[in-house]
Amino acid sequence: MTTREQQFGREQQFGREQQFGREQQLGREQQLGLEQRLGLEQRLGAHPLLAGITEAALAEIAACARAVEVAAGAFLFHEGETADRCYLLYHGRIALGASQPGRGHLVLETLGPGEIVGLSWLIPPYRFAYDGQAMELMRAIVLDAACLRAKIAADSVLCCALLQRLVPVLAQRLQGARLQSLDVYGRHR
Amino acid sequence: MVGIAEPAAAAAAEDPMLPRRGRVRARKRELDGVVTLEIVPEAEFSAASAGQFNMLGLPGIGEIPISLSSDPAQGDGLVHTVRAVGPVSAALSRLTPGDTVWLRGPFGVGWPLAELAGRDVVVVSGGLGLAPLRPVLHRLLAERTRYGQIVLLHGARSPTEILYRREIAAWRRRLDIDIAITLDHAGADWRGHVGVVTHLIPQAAFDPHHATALVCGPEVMMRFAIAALGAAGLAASAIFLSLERNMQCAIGLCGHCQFGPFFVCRDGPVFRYDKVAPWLSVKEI
Repeated sequence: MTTREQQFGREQQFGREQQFGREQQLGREQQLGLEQRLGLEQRLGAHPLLAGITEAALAEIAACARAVEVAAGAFLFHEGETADRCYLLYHGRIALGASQPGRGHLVLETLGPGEIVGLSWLIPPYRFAYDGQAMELMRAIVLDAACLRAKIAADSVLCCALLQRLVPVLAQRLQGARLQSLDVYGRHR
Repeated sequence: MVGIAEPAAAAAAEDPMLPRRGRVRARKRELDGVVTLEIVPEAEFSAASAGQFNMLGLPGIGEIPISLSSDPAQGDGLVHTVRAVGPVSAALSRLTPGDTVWLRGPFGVGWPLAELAGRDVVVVSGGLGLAPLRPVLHRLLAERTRYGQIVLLHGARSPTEILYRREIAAWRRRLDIDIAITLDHAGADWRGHVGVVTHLIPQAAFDPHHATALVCGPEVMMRFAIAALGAAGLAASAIFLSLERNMQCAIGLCGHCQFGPFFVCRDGPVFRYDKVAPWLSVKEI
């Protein structure tokens, strides 16, 4: 049986090597040319979260974006880490979870294509609340949180457009969490 | 709940209040505290349709409504899945092959199978709510070419509490039904969805303008599922749900299951959503 330290160490190692190395590589690739930049904007525009957003807003967001591919099993982030990014998923699924001594790693929610992962970038103190792990090969657009926060601080129209899209997501997740906490499938009289 | 007296079996066919004797032919443990009983009535028993229920009783203990959970067109037994939550259901769940159980039924209005032909069918279930929908799935799959997309979205508490797990796996192997299971709680070894069943609805492949949804589960889950189905584009008249209330007489006489202008036992348990929507949010009923 592995200890928590061993397990966590392996996760960190796997996460950093498999995830950030690959992310950085793809990030550089995506930042190389105008053609790729336009492709990124196109992909951003196709993401359900940004449906209907203006081209100007899309261009602003794209300036903070890069594409990533994360291997199955790799951690995107760990609970408590600085939430300096969020992910717009377009392929694969990720699991949000937390570790509980004696119960191992518990999965709280899974998210898939068309969803946003890492909402902690929006709320001080900007720390990830959960662990995020790719359940399968995951492809996403990463938005740099500092870049995005600077842009929405300077542009109230962009801020409004983003919040209009993010608040319903937050509400939906809150409702979901409340419903889960009711334990409706439990044995009740 | 009043205990059942020994019935006069001969008169039972004419009187819906008179129980008839049946024998447990098979018992299958489904989950912790959940069993499926196959019961063979000793005398002729009216054919039921998917979504209807029978009153199952044990003398001196009581009688409760339990939905049919297998295709009425298959076999001569009545199949009921029971969760032990009260004295009657606990006693029923302890029955073994050869034991006697008393039956009245079938009662109520079932799922609108005739209206599903040519349409996409979205089945949304939670927990034991899959049991009353299982006969529908059997029917749909038995006549697969009559329907468009068939989607099953099921929510369960944890990996060990997925009802009819082997059957779901067999359905998945058919490749002509889309199935998604989501759990409230899971460990890292679970590779499927975690979250509420309503989150599966936007991802499901069906045409909302040509789809009918059948929903069964805890009522709060059904309310959220109906909202998500509405957001996906389904009309209120294309959503059916199975309600659960305190059903005693099962024939609309005693009034225990009154739900606005309806009796759930007689006018339900399956209702079209737009017919009952005004009363779903009334806490007192």
